[in-house]
Amino acid sequence: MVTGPVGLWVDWDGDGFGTGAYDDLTALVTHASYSRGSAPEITGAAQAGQAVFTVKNPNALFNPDNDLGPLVGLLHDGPPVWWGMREDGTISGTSDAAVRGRFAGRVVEVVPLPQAGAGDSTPLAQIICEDPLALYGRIPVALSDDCSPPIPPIPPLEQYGTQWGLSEVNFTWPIAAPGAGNLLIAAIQQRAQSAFDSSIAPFSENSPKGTPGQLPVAGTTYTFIDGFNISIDGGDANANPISMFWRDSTVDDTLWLDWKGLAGTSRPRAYQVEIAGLSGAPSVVATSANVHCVRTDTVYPLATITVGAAGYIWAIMGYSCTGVESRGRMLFTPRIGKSLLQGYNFDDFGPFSWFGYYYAPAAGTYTIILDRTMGAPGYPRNGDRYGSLLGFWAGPESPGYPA
Amino acid sequence: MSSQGEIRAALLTAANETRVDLDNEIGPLFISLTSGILLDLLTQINAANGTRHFVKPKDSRDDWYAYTTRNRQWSLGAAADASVDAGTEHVTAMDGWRVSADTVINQQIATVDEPEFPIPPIKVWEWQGLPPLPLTIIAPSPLVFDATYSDYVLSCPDLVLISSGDDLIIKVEHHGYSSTITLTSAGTTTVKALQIDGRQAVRDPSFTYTANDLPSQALPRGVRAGPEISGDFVGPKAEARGIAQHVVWRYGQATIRPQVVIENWLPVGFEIDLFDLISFTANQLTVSASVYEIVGLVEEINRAVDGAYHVVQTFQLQQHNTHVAFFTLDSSHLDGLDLLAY
Repeated sequence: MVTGPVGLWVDWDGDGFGTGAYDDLTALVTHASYSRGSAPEITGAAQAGQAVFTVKNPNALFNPDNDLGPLVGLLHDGPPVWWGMREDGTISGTSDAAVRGRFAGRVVEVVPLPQAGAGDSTPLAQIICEDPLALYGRIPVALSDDCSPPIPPIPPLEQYGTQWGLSEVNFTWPIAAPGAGNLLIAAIQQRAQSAFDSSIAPFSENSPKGTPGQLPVAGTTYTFIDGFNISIDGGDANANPISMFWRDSTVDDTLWLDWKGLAGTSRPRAYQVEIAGLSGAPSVVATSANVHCVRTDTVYPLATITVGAAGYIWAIMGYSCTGVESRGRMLFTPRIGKSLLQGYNFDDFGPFSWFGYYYAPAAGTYTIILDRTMGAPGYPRNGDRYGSLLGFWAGPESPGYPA
Repeated sequence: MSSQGEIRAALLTAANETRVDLDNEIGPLFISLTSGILLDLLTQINAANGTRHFVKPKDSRDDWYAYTTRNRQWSLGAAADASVDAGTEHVTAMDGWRVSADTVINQQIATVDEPEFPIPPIKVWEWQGLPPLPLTIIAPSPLVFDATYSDYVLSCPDLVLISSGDDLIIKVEHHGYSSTITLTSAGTTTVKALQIDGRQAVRDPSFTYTANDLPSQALPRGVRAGPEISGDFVGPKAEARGIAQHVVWRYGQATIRPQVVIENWLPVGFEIDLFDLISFTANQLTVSASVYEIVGLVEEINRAVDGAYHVVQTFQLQQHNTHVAFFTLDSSHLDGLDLLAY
C-alpha cells in the first residue's frame, strides 16, 4: 500500500515534484476531469489520456501576462503533472487510506478564466494536460545499427601535426579524433625571442591552409600552460623559448589550425596532438633548469615531474641554436619512453626541438633526459643550452598513444 | 531475429522512456531495425498482435507513471476484479445496453510478406541527388544525407565510395529501410562514385490467412470483416494465423459495450483500471453477474467542501468473452484447468 503525497502536483521548474513553492496546487483544486484513453478493439489505436484541472487563481497566479507573479516564465507547456487521491476520496488532512494515482502527464495549456464585467482579478484558471501517449505522437525515433567503417587508428605521432615556417605555422589535421571533449595539446618553439610569449596561441579556423586574415572559430583558442626560455651564452638574440597550450576539442572543430601572435621571423616549430579519453588542464607542470651543454657529455637530465596517478606526461624539449641537426633522443627515466617526435633546425640559428609523451603507469617521479649518444661529432657547441617543459594529465591509456 | 516485445522495449529506450511496465510479446519478427514516430510504431505493434497500451499513473507521486501494455491474453479466463450491483451501489447511469452489429468482426484477414535476404549483396541505392557526381566535400561542411531503400536491408550494408583528395571519415547509421550517411573530409575530397550494396528483402508471395466465424456469418448480418492486419510487425505465418483467429474468436458475436456511471464507489473504484474486469448486476437490464472489461475510464472530481470531494467515474465497458474452454485442457500436470493459449 502506497501512502504519501496526494492532490495536484506540477513540477513547474523541472526540479522534481515537491521542490518549489507552487508545485503543490492541491489546496487550489476545485474540479478535475480526466480520461484514460483506450479503444475497444484490441487491434485499434488508443487515444491519449487528457485532463482538465480547474483551480483557484489567487493574485493572478496563473495569468501568463502577470510579470509580477511567482510563476512568471514558468507558465508554458511541458511541466510534469501528477494527480492522486486516497482511496477514501480525500486529498487533504491525514489518513491511513492508500494513495491511488489517477492521472499523470504534462501540462499543455494554462488558461485563466476571466469573468464578465470589470473585475480586477481572474478567480479561476484551468490547467489542461495530456498523458505521455500524446507526447509519443511527436517523438521521432529510430532503431539503428552503427555501420560506420572502423575509424582508422590515430596515426603515429610522427605523422601527427607538426609544421614549421618563417612567420607562421598552420596545420591540416590528418584526422580528428571523434567527438568533443578530447584533449588537444599544442607546443611551439620559436627562435630569437627574448622570452616566451604567453599571448600566442593556436586556434581553429575555417579558411584553407595559408589563407591570410583567418579568424578563430569561437571557442577554439588554446589555453597557455607555461613557457620556458632557453637562453644562450651569447645573448637573447638567439634564445629559443618553448611554450605549451591545451584545450578540449569541440564538435565544431575544423581540420585547420593556425597560430596567432607570432613575431615576424620567429621561425617557429609547432606540434599538436589530440588524445581521446583525456581532457582539461594538466594537473602538474614542470620545467627544467637551463642546462648548459658540455660537448663531451652525452646524457643530460632535464626536468623532473612527480605525479600522483597513472597518466600521460607530455613534454617539449629544445635547445638553442646549434648549427646543424643533433641526433639526440628525448627519453624518460626510470623507464625508457616512447620514441618522441624530433624536430629539426630551420637554419644555423633555428630552434631544435622534440615533442612527445610518456605514459606513466603509476604514481611516481619521472625525469626527462637528453640522450646524445647518437649525436653528430662536434655538436652541440659548448655555448648551447637545453630546456624542457612537461605537463601531466591523469587518465587511462589512449589507443593512439600506447604505453 | 527479435521479438515484438524486444522491438517495443527498444523503441521506448531509444525515446529515453524509462517508466515502463511491459507485458510479454514473444512473437518473432524478421526485422530488428525501424524508424518513425514513436506512437505510430507502438500502435503498429499493437495492431499486429492485439496488445493494448495506456499510461497508468503510479500511486507514488515521485514515480509519476508507467507506460503499460496488456497483451491479448490479459484477463482471459480470469475472475472479475470487482463487482457492481446497480441496486446497492450508487449507479447513476447505464447507457448503451444494446446489441450492435458495429461490434462484430466475424472475418479477419492477416497477411504476411515473409522476406528472404539473398546472398550476395546487390546495389540497393546510388547517389542521384544534387549536386551530381563528382561532388566536392570540404572539411568544415560534412555531407549528410539519408539513403532510402525500396525494402528492408539487413545490417550492415556496404557503402561503396570512390574518391580522391583528402581522407574521408564515413559514418553510417542503418535503420533498416534507410541509412543516414555522414561524410566528413579531412580537407578537400572529391567523391566520384557513391552507392550502397546490401542484402535487401525479397518478398515471398504474400501469405494471407483468413479466419472466419461461420455461425456468426450465417446470421442475417452476414460477413463483417475487420481491418486487414499486415506489416513487418506481424511476424511469421503462425503469428498471422494466431492474431486472426483471436480477433474472430473475440469479436465474432455481438458484444455489449455499455457505459456505466458510478458515484463515490470507493475504495473499489480506485483499485481497478483499464482492462480489468467488472462483474455487473442490474435487475432493470436482466443482467446478473455479467463480466465486462474496462476499455475506457473517465473521472470527474468535484470539490464539495474543504477536504471532501465527489467522485464520479464513467466506465466504458465491453462484454468479456469468457468462452475459453476451446483452448483449455481439462487436466494437466499442474493439477488444474490451465489456460494454454488463445
